[in-house]
Amino acid sequence: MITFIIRRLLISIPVFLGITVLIFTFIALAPGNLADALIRPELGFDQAAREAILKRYGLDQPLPIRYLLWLANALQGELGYRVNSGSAVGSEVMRGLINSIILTGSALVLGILVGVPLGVLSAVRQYSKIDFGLTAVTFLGISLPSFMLGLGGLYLFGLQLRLVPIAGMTSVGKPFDFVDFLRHLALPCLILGFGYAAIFLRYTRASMLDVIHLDYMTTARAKGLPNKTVLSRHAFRNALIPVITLIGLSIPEIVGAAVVTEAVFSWPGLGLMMVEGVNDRDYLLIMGITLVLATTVLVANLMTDVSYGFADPRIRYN
Amino acid sequence: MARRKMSRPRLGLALALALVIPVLAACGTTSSSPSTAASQPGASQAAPSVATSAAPSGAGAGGTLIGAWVGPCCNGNDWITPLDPGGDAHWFDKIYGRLTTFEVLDPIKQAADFDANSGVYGKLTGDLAESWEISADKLTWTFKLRPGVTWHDGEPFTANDVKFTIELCYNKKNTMAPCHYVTAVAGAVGVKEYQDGTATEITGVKVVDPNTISFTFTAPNSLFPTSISELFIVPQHKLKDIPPEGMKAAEYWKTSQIGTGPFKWSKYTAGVSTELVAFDNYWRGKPKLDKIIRRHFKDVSAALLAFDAGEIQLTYLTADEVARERQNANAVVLPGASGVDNAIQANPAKYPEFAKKEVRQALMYAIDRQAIIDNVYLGAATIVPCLYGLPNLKGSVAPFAYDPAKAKSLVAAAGVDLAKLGELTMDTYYADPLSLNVMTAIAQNLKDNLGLTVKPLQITDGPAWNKLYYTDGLSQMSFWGAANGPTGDRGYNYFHSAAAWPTGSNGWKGYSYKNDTVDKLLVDARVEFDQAKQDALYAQVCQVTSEDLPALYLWQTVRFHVVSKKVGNMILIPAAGGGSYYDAAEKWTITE
Repeated sequence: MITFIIRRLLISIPVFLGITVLIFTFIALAPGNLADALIRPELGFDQAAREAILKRYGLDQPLPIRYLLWLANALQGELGYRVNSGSAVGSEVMRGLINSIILTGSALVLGILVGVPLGVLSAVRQYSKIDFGLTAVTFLGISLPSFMLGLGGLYLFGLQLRLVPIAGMTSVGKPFDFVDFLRHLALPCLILGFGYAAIFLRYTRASMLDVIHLDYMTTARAKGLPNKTVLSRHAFRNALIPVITLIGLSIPEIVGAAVVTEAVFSWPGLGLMMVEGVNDRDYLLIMGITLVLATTVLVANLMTDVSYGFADPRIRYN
Repeated sequence: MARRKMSRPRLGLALALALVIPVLAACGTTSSSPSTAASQPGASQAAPSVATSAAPSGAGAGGTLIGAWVGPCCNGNDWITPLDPGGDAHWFDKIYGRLTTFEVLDPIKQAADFDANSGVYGKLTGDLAESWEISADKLTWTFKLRPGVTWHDGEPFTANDVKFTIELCYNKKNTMAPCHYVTAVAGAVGVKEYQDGTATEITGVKVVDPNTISFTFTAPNSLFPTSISELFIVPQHKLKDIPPEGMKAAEYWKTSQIGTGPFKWSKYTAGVSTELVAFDNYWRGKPKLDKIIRRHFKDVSAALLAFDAGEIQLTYLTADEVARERQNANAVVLPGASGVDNAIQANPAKYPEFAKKEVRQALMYAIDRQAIIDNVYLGAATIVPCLYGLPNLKGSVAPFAYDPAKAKSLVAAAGVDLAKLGELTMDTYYADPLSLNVMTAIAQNLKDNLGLTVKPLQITDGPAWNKLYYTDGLSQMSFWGAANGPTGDRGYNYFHSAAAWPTGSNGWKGYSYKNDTVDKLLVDARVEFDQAKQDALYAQVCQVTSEDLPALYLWQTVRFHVVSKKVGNMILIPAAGGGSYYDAAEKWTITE
């Protein structure tokens, strides 16, 4: 296993570099550039002013040189500064990442904790009222757009029932209060978690249904094992592989995939920051976020592969 | 292969840490001014009052006002600076002062009976300037500054700060996009040399003494005191050591910026809020509120829900919510002119058909503006005959009526078949659904009445739109906004041949509007010091451009804010397009 992990980590290095090269190139190819975002409109025609800005931000260099300059700085922990606010990209990305992990991470955990058990239940009780009910709720969760759920949730739980505050991470103008923070987190987390739970439920149900009708399940029952043991040890464990794959694929979403929810709930996460970065042609910010995103994808894939071994003893990596 | 299982308690601990550590870390993501004194929330005794009414007698001081300060665009950008305030001028005026500003005509009337085109701006009045006068040759304006004004850090405000601000505006190295509205200063002696780099200062801007500054122009400039009203003055002693190239990104703007306004910077929490506390030594008197907090919302609807839930006391209101909020017993709806005309620009450089005046007039006749205002804007817009909407500027010029038959006949007389142009894209930088609906309605009119097929396209990123429209000149048809007041000099930027892009906003790469009569009228108006005569000149500009149609100026929209009745003495013009006015924020009160 250790060898496998080391090998995967080594393979990750060129993959990681490849991702950064691609993103860097795409940013360079996008219409408009940093000079357009920085230059004063009335000086847009002024070639000298434009060149000064290009030089200041190193945009006058050929693309490969620019990439290498960025990479060399990044390896030393220097990710540069945001175009608009001048804040260090590293600390800005960290701030957004933490906020996104809090929101999307807790929603993902919620989705797993709710979706997977209900998926098992739905499969075990196939075609029962519970199954139909859960299927209906699942389709709602998958098909309802998050902005609609967000605004609807704010209207119902925030405005009408006054159970949660309207948007934001904490109440402004007051000292930090953990309970207050949890109240702000509750609704966006539930709404995002609802979507995750719906997806995990469907996958778990389908995966369980694939397994519970196989011959070895009949064998397990025939040798007198209790149904609970059959389901947990033989069915669920084997059904987990696709679910683990799905969870692995979902982990990178923690890094800024909840743009709409972050916008509706005024949650200052990495998704909104990425949108701002693209609008501003702030390539240093985009690259900083890409760094985190690429790392998350690679780590999540590695964790997924390792998890396969835990879930299914037949899978060996040596 | 050796495998290790993670025990359940260990797994639980890991999960708990994974959730708790980020939460704790998140608690420290604020930046605050080290010099900010903690505010002492006073016991507010103010009785409930209508937002625009006078404070009830015996109203107490203290309390915190929380507002959204959002608008129809740009809510993603919670990080801007006072020299580039855009629609956020009515936030920055809490922190900064200007030399001059406008009084508001009648705030009570504004809430009760508002007409976008009659305007709400009163007379020009002094803010940081106590008085100003013109020299006998009408070339030099001299401003006497208000004595005893200090910056929030206690340093005295002087004429050097004004000169520094002006020169910062015209410093080519400055990466901010400041001073959009002070184009009139461009005619000051020495601006060109300063920008060319052949002079180290603008010689026409002279510090006479610490409380006096003069501006000398190459030609008379009657509108200068008005133009300068839109420029916030920034502190020289704080900014002089920041390189102009790094001005926009300076840490200063979010940790320790200071002004001369009634409230001073206290705390900025990225993406969450900005807090201001009362400046006790404000020259108009200590503010009644202890604190003003701007909550940052990315979504206007969420801000309105927060208002309805009582979490904030002020927010922007979309036109479709006005009727509902007017039923809210706890709220006052404040309408205001946007200060912006929406216009359509067809590109004659790409389609010679649009170079014919008759075709442009046909487009105007083909659009049922009143129906769009009634049904899409729900009445929250007023038709304009030209760039100008204010009665004194537009004179007796009548807007084009909706007349499909006339539109068809004009196109036929011009020998043009617009259907043959194929599908044209109508681009815009307005990203809101309302603007898309408006453009769709316009497209339907043009299709039905002229056979012209137009497809709306919202380009939400500013640099891409600028490149398409200005730099490349590739736009086929565009829907955009033009600032229309408070004086007619706005027309110079759009119509005068000297303001042809890229010098001004007249046209784009490959095209600009030129009419010698309009050029002369605009210059004559600048040097005319008699208000009535100046208005008459602008009315002539309106007449000529309404026939020429360099752009199809359609309407000025009304924008709305909603304010809690807990707030007293508030004066607020929801002009998200900017605009300088005295809102008497130091008199605002709140009942908590």
